[in-house]
Amino acid sequence: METNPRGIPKAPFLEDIGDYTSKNESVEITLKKFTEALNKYKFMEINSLQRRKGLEDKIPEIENTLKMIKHIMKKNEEEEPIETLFEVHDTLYANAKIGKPKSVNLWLGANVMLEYSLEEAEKLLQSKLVSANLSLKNVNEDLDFLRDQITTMEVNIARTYNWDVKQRRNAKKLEE
Amino acid sequence: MDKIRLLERTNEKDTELGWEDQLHINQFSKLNSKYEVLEQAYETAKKEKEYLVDLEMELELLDEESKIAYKLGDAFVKLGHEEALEQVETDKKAAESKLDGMKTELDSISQTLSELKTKLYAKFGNSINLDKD
Repeated sequence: METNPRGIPKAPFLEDIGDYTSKNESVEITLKKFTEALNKYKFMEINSLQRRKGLEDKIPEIENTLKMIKHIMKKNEEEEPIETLFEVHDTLYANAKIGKPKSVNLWLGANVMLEYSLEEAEKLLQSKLVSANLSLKNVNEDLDFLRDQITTMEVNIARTYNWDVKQRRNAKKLEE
Repeated sequence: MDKIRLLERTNEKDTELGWEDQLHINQFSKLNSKYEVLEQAYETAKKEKEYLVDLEMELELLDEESKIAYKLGDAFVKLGHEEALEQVETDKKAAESKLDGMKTELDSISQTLSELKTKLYAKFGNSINLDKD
């Protein structure tokens, strides 16, 4: 079976409905199979949409952290202390003057924070940013692909249904 | 006004759907949903850019000695007047180029959509509906 790079199977296109349904016992069974496949695609679409949302939140976060590190590096070069207002609580900020920091602590998740030198932190975040952007690109590709398969399936269902209606109509005519 | 409309038998065209038509329909559906997402993102980005323009004007009115708290992530950093202006200028330029890119994409999508629409309506006539209700 044909799949996309992330292993999502491709929806079949039916050249000839009559030919296809006759291989599949009955129209009802064919329609049932199609609806099942359609629901699977829709489920995958919802999952991918969630993944995209997560990445869309994560990328600006990484970008902001990188901006802050660049700012620290710039101030270090200028030999100026960093003046900042930092968040103590939601509605409370405190003034601070930081002289020439050599390292930063990055929150890695799962209650772990690690100390990095400025250069290392920049490198790490750069690579995280690149991989997050790549994942976003992949998710978007998947979503496009899924949309295609969903449309193909919907058209398949409609065509099979219409074909069936026509068959019945013809059969009735013959009876008369 | 949602009304279920039965096609008149005489209007019903029996057109065979080929693989190429299926591809056209798929592309239409894909681009249509992409257009909606992009259109929304464009509106948000446009507003953000307007804020930046306002901000630039406000900054120019401020005393040159004053320090500006610029939000970087969760914290604010204090920037000198000149530094802050530079930063806002770069932000504005980035926002502008992002907007331009989005505009070009929106235009090209809407052009492709109308081309596909003509093709599909020409082939399927009444049997297909591509317009929003």
